[in-house]
Amino acid sequence: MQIATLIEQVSAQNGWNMALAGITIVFSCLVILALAISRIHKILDLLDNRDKLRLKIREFFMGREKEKQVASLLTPTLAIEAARYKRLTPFLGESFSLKGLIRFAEGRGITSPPPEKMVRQFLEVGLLKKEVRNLFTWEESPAK
Amino acid sequence: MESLFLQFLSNTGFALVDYRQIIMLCVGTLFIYLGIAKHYEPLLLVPIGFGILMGNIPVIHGMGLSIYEEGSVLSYLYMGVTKGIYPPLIFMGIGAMTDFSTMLARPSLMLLGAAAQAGIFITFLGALMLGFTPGEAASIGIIGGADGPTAIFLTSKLAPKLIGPIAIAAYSYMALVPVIQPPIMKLLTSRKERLIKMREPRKVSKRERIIFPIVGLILSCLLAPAALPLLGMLFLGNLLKEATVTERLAETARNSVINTVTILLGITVGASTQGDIFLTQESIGIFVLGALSFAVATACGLLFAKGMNLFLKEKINPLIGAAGVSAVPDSARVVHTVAQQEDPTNYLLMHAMAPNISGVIGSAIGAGVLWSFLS
Repeated sequence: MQIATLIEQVSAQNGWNMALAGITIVFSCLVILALAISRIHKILDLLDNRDKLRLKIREFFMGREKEKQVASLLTPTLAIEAARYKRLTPFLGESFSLKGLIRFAEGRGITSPPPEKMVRQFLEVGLLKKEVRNLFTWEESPAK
Repeated sequence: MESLFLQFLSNTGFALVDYRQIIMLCVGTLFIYLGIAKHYEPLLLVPIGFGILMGNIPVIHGMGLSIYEEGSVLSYLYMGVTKGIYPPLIFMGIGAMTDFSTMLARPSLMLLGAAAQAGIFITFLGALMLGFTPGEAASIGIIGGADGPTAIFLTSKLAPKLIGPIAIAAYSYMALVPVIQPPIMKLLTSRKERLIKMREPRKVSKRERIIFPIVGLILSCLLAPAALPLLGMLFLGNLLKEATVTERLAETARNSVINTVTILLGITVGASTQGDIFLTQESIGIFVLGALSFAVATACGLLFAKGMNLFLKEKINPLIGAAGVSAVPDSARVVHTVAQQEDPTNYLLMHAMAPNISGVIGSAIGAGVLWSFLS
């Protein structure tokens, strides 16, 4: 039998199209399945760490808001006051309580503006950050 | 009384026997010998061989003994084959036995299972060229998937009269994996390639293994709905295994169910090979094309693996491409053995299981696609 006849026989039954479509579908199915299952463990990891993820997302969106807020609140006067208070803290240790800071400031004769008010402002602009329990530390670059 | 004796003698198998039945009785005996003495797929070849013996004992037609006679016991059992009931049950058992971890650890190896399915479609074209109808050609092509249940399932849908020769061809070639594949592997790979060692696959979590059958079913059956009877049961079996809370069901699926069905399938497929129906030119054509299909599938997997190596930083051993045919776990075992012949410290079994299992999925999808094209 001639090759041309054999090829015609296949064409007459729509064989070429079926074979091509068939292998394409099988291949595509397995590729899609492979792609899908290669993601399963990553999705599971993501779900396991959803708290971290949520925090990161919040930081991403809220962080910018905060930066803007801090930038507007962190006036040059406040920065000078903060520098004054920072000089006191080496005596209190790296982490200190707010009460301790206020008392120490009062003990050093800082009364105007009132230390309580200043500390509240430092907290608002993020110059002071909470570490553990009631202990705080200075945030080096709050508006970064 | 004399006439009764004469009548009895004329009804015995000795008086009714035909040369074709003698040939088939020899074939049946050979299958049993290969299964028991040579350990070639004994779980399949022994029941099939015995079925061939049962199917080729000459009987008087009309007594309701032959598998093709309505009302005979064998004909009822054979319904599990003709109605496509046994293959999905076997798939459930396979699912309950198989650990998909290696495939989940390195899904890119699934492409090898896909590549090996090219053998199905190339043989489909070859069968069409030889004058088989599209349904018959598709059933012959699926032999290249090296998946007996899938071959039986598709043939029962598209070419029921060819179930006997196609099932025998498919199971014979599955049994002959250790004979057929190694020469092709050695021919298409260099020694240097066969020596490639692959890194340990990552550990797959239990949750991943539980999620996979659900995702696998939804994705593969949404894309190829005709594969649902086979893949649905495969993934169900696997979910039963991985869920652990259904251990009793998984245990039943991987032992009682699959063993019972294998016996019934083997016996009935064997019995369907009655000499007068089986020994035809068509059957010879099916056997030749089946072997071709199997060889092409193996070659396609190997060549695709070599092709992948051109793009991969971390090379894979191309031998595992041969495991893309879905004879689970025989072809994976053969890959491992061939690799160990070159380097006894090279363990490829785990890696070869990935394309091997994806080959099962691929051949079921291929069968579903052909069924949907031709039904």
